[in-house]
Amino acid sequence: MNRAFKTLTTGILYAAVVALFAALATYLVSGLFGNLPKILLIVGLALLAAYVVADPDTVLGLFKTRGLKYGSNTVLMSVLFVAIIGAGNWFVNQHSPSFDLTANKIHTLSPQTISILKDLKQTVTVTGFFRAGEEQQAKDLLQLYAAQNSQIQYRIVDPEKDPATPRQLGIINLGTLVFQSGSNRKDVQSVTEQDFTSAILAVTSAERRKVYFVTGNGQPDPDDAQQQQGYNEAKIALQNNNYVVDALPATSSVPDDAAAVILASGTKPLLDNQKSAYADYLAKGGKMLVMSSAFSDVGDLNDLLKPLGLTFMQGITIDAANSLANNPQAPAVSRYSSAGAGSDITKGLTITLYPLAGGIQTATPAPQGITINAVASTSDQSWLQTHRDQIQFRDGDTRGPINLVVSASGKLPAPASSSPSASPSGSAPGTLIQNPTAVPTLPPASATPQASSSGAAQSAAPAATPTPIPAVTGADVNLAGGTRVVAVADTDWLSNQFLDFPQTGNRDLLVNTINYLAGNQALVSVPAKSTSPGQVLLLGSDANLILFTTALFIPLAVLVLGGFVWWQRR
Amino acid sequence: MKDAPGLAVEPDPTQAPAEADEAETTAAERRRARRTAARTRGASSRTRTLASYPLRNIGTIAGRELYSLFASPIAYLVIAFFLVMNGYLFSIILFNSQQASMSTSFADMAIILLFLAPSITMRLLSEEQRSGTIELLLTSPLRESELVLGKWLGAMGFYLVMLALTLPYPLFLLKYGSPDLGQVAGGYVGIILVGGVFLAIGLFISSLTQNQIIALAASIGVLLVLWLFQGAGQSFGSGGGASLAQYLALAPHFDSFTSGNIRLNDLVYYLSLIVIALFLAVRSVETRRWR
Repeated sequence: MNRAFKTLTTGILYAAVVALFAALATYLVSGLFGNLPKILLIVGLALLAAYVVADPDTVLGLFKTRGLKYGSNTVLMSVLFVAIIGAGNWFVNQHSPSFDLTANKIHTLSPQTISILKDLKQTVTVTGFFRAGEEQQAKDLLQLYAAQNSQIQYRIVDPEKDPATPRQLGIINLGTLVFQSGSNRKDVQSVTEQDFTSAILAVTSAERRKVYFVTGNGQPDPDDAQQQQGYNEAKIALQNNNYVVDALPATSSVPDDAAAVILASGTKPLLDNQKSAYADYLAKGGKMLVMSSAFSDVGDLNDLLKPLGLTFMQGITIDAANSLANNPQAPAVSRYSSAGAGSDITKGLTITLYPLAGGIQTATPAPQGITINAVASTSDQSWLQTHRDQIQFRDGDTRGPINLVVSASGKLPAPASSSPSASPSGSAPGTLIQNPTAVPTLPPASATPQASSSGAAQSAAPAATPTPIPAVTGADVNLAGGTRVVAVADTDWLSNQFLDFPQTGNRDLLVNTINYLAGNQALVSVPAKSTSPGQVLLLGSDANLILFTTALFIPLAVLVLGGFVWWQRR
Repeated sequence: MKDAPGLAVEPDPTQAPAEADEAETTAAERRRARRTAARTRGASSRTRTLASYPLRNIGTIAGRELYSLFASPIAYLVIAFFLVMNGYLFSIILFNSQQASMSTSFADMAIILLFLAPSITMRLLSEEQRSGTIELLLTSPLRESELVLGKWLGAMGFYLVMLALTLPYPLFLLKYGSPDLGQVAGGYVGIILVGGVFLAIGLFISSLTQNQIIALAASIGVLLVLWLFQGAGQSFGSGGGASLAQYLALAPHFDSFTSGNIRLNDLVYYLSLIVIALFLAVRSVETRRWR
């Protein structure tokens, strides 16, 4: 009887252990302290209590053993010690300073930034979107900002765990940081002090600069979110970077508050008043993004750009070497010129895409007082095809590289009288050269005439789009610094379809270009710190010297010494 | 440690013989008295030295441990293996990146150490237990903490010599480029701390078993889990458990050192792990008194 009772109580103890283990296992596997783990825990504890009640002598006897007495003391001391050390770690983790050992102090904020942060009176929230494990660099930098002023509040969101927040803020690219203050917002793609400080200045500034899209000549509509050719995504991208965006009807002159004007070639020629207005605007120091696509009527635009030494070329650029999905009519560019304006325009750019593009010719030498920089060009294997038959290089075509993005800046002479050109209007492009099936969604560049802006005006922008009543700057600011023009031989690159085309950086190209034109590329002169280590120059046998010394001679010397020691002690 | 380090301590020179009344005794009595006094003094001074000079005891044990490590040809093989691996990886990384940086090399070094450090610590206390010399040590007036700390410092000395042999790497970078020496120094601070953690945990595990192979395998296993704990943290979701798991992982704390931006919490984290592991090792040795 006694043995049977002992067996029973032992069985109860085992069952209790199994139940408690099962509770822990189910909790770990499911990740939730749901009903099953709870039931198993209660059962386990009940069985344990039953064992204690049924066999108290054994339990009390355990406590009387020497091992348990000293062992529990050791365990208790260890747990207490670890807890104290853990608490110390937690405390240090809450207020952890860092020691920047680098020569360029790349982990320390510059005095300019510190001064700006000290004067900051309004709250700036920063939301960074990073995959888990990729956020450390941004977090470290934001921590430095937050340590200077508690008005800087930040949080890191992992879109895989919290998909609602990026959707709410209209975030497409991982690695984006959204700076917000009140209704102002600026998106930043790179983790540098320069960009962060500029963003803080931009969102806390009372002034927001205004960018105009010219409409009314058959250009894509900045409010058109429905059609692939629309420019609504471009408009949102600019609004997210603290610009106020508006349409500039064909009948209007350029307002004083225009920080930049975006002019795309349309299906209709420019009106006379437009030509003279834009020419006057440029001559006074205006800033324009001018775009034309393959086979479009470029006569008016060329008249406008002639004083700057830029000419849109008739035809379509074919590039089989660098193109989207092997479609030679959609050239892709991954290497840019960083000379002059190129450094601002191409900052942080990956691949950019120019479907159904023409080309741009630059005057050599450039007109007096004008600086021209070819920013993006196609490969050496490309050409500008002037005929509309099959894809083939013929006489009269221009061999690559073909300029796709060119900047021109400087002081223009006094406004010249507008001289409307009577260049023949090209027929709709893309009708003879068919798009390869590889990119079935590629639109014919301007084959679809755009409805007037009112047609798509009702297309609502996403809810996240800020719509404040802005304070804008006047002509004295907007026209300062001389004329700046960026010409792009394509109008589709910033369309709804291609602005955020996967793996491409067209959105960044647009924002960088407008920042350059509007003089907004660096609101503060935070010195750029080189974060990459210096290059190593290895010539001739240098590599062998390093490899053999580090991986052979030094270890061999250690082995010889070891052999000597062994021989001596043998 | 066959000769019980810490016991062979010199008599305390501060204890000068008191010979004031010796002039009145005969030469034979003087000699006898001197011998007796010397015996008494020797015993008392030894007891006093061991009990009152923990630093000297720790230093003696560390010195003996270091000596015994370098007296063994196996130690030179361990160093040579460490240098071949690191030298090769350093060269390959340098040739491919063409950059005067050691950040990646330090990360590789830590991984190699993860497997090599247990081979240094596996015999430190398990061998004492297997051979029975631990009983001798425990019955001597030597504290467990002195024994453990001395052993760890001996292993650290060996490790620092091993690490010093990698100093030609930054020298090569200086010759052929312009490395950020602050970043390199930060990396060395980090790798010394990581090595200290590996050796402390290895020492603790060595105190748990008499079998060196078990100590080696268990140490590698524990260090590997701690190193890779970050992944486990990410799989826990975004709650407090995930933050705790990420904080406990060894690897993420290393980045701040290799980037040249030493965060106090990372420094405290590694020092805490060393202290905890050594504390547990002391407690583990202590259990032999009542087990």
